[in-house]
Amino acid sequence: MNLKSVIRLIGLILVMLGASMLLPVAVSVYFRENAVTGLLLASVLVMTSGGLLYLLTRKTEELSNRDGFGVVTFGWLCVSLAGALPYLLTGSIPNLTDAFFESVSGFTTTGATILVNIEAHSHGILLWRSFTQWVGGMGIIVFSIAILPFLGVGGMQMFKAESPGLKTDKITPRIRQTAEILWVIYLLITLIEVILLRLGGMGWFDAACHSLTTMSTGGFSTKNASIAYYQSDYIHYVITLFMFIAAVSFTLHTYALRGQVKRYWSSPEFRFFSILTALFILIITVERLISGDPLSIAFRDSAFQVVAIVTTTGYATADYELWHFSVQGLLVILMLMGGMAGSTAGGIKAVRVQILLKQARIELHKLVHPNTLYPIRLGRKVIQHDIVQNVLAFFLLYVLLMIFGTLAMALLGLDHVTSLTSVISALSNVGPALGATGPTDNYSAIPFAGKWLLALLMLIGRLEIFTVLVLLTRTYWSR
Amino acid sequence: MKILIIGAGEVGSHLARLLSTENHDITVIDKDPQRLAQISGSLDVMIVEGQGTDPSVLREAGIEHMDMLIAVTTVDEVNILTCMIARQFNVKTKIARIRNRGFTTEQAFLRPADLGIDLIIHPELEATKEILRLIRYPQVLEMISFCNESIAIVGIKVVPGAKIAGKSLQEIDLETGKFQFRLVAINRGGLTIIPRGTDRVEVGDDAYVSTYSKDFNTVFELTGHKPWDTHHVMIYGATAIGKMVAEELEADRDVHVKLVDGNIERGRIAAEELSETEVVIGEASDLDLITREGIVDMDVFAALSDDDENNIVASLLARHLRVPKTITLISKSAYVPIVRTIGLDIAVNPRLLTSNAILKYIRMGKIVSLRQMVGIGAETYEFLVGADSKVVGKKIRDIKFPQGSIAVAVEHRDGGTIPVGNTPLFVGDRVVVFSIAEAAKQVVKLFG
Repeated sequence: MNLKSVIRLIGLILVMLGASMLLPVAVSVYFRENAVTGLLLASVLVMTSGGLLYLLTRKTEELSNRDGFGVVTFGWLCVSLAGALPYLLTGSIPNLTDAFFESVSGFTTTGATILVNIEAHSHGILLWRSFTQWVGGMGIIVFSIAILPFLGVGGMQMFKAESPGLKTDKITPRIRQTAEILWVIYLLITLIEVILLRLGGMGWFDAACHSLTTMSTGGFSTKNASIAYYQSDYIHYVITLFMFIAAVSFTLHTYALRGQVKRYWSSPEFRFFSILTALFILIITVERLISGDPLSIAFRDSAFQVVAIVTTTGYATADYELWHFSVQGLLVILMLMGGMAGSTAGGIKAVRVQILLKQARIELHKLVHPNTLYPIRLGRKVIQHDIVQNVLAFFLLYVLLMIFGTLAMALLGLDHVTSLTSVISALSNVGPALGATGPTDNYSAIPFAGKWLLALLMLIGRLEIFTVLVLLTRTYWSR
Repeated sequence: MKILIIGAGEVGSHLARLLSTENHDITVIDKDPQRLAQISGSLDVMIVEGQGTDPSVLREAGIEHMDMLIAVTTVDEVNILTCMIARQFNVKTKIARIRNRGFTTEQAFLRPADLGIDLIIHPELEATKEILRLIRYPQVLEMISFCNESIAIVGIKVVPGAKIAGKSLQEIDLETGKFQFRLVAINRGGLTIIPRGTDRVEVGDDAYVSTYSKDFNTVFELTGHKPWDTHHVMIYGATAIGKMVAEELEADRDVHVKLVDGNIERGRIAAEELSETEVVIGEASDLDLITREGIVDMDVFAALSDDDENNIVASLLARHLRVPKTITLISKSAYVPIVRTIGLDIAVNPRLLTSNAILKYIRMGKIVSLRQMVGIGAETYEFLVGADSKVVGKKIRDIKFPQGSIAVAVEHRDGGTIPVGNTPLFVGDRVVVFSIAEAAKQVVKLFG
């Protein structure tokens, strides 16, 4: 690995991160809060350390394929550490484990929190929490590529290592333009949501924070009761809609903005994802009706909760742990799948699930017709064999991480439902799970080691497993 | 500029690499996902999988916003069709690689313009031109020509018996008088020297001279070479290039051409097409055969078959039998760098020539073309003198050329000249400047 170039870039990323901390500083100043000094200190500290890293490494060569993984993994680690500083220095989360957990949970858009009384915290800290999710949603690296002009081919390697999905769709010839367009669209949709929520009676500050965490499919709320705090149907439906939008590939949004709205429905992944979501909403609505909820509440809650889980946002409007046990199982399946590739959502991704299902069916067909060739098609496009293999390996690693993660959590003394679902929730960047970490609970009671493990799983999950795990192979480090 | 390249083969990917580093926005279309994956892994370009003639694929690639289309697939018809479609989308410049010569001859029913093509690149023709130049002037190490090839910079070795050996530039000037023999650089033992009036030329130097093409023979004479001593040429491979080279050479009565090919059918066709050339059936790796055919008397051996490995082996064999000059056609650009290592003189790579021809056309902006002289680490630039240029109306002697650079040619409307001190520069003139690498930036600043 080209260590110098990697450090230099991470330095630059830290400078940008430190600068972005001035935003919560400004908010804190506006609300005349005590958190100002802590936040300002964090900002200055991060900027100077980043600046030092940048200055101490002289300009070096172009990044290679390998360096991309290094920059992304170590970059995310450093950013998560730096992101914990505001919590520590303002004293809002006094110990390192908790602060790091909250920071990682933010940047990876997981939304699992250790805060017991969220509303007690200063506006500055609450904004920082939401902001980390927003930055992490579209990607820290994608953001740097959009801003830094000199990345070129190296930028593409990093883009590939960070972006979720099978293949990276470039929508423009240059990676920088693609990154710019993605961020502009992301910003635009976020602003629209802020305005719509404001119109629904939410205050500007809460509207902004919730929009930041909806569009990133993060799920941090400024309220203890999450979205359930708001009684308005309008707010519930607006957030449901925007969570769904955030879990749709941003490439499709770009095309829509260029006037090719039909592209949504012609995307096989979009059809699969939206039909499946609709189906789950229907099933759970029926279950709620049978349990005695009136139709308006049954539909509103199941739509919100299904979308919140499948998009890996993790907001709560209803305590689904009170729902029928089979329904909870359905929600766990949705957690595993997650949103579309190229969106801000986590999970295995709809397109991978599609390919896995098709491959499974083909293997069954082959038992009857061993000599027939069955290419895997998504729409009209044939999926190449190496991609199928990649998806199978991804799924295997995902399951292995899930099994060993669950075992480790169980060893720490957690019950099996909590162990399993908290691990899935971390890997898929959802947030709430079942058991002791359900939608009405938080992660503060998880043992110290469990928090570090979950934080690690969140990072692995956000960077789509391969990018982190490749650093653990010997091939990566040998010349 | 937004450029769409159809075909991600050797030419396409080479162009994509060069143009994307020159700040053009490149999109590449190819139907082979593996080739595309290779490109997208190493270049900052957009890739689209599909047929270049498929309108939906072209739309996906954003053809309506493109400034230029370069169609370099292996199929002529696809390239032509793509250019015709691009015309419907109002793409400004359309370049196609076309192997079939039917489109480029005078009698063609369809002219490039009818098909909406602005520039046709013919790789075999480009290669043939290069090979002919190398055969005609075997003494020349390197040559770059400008102004419709009427002026050139020639790199040539000063051999024992040269008239200019041991003389200073001033003495050479006195002797040659009116003849324009301008020494722009010398490579002495790997070191590049920009000579001044009192510097002397020595035997063994590689002299880089700017001169009119009609005076080449005088240049050869001054540097100690015989003017024209190629009489026997053996060509291996009755390919399109092989036949074109033979055809051009046999027009010269002094040259005797032997064409060797292992394929009877190909050989028969070549024999019928070529009246003076002697066609021999057999492999060039057959030592007995080529000895019998007099390989030892050959001045030049050119391996021009379509198999790179056979060409290399045949040339090595000829080299071993002490043929003074061997020329090897190599299609895989990856082989080009090893040519010198394995002891061959010159490799000709049609794909590189093709992309160079396209690049030259694309760069026809202010800095028209830029070509490297490999032997001395120098570059030649061709500048268009614009109305806002700092040098308009000035005479050459009044322009402050950076150290290590010199104007070697000026092309007015009525033809090219080698400039002297009082040659003026007007708007629309093209100036060719020779510059060592260190001075290049200042030269571009002065004219750009």
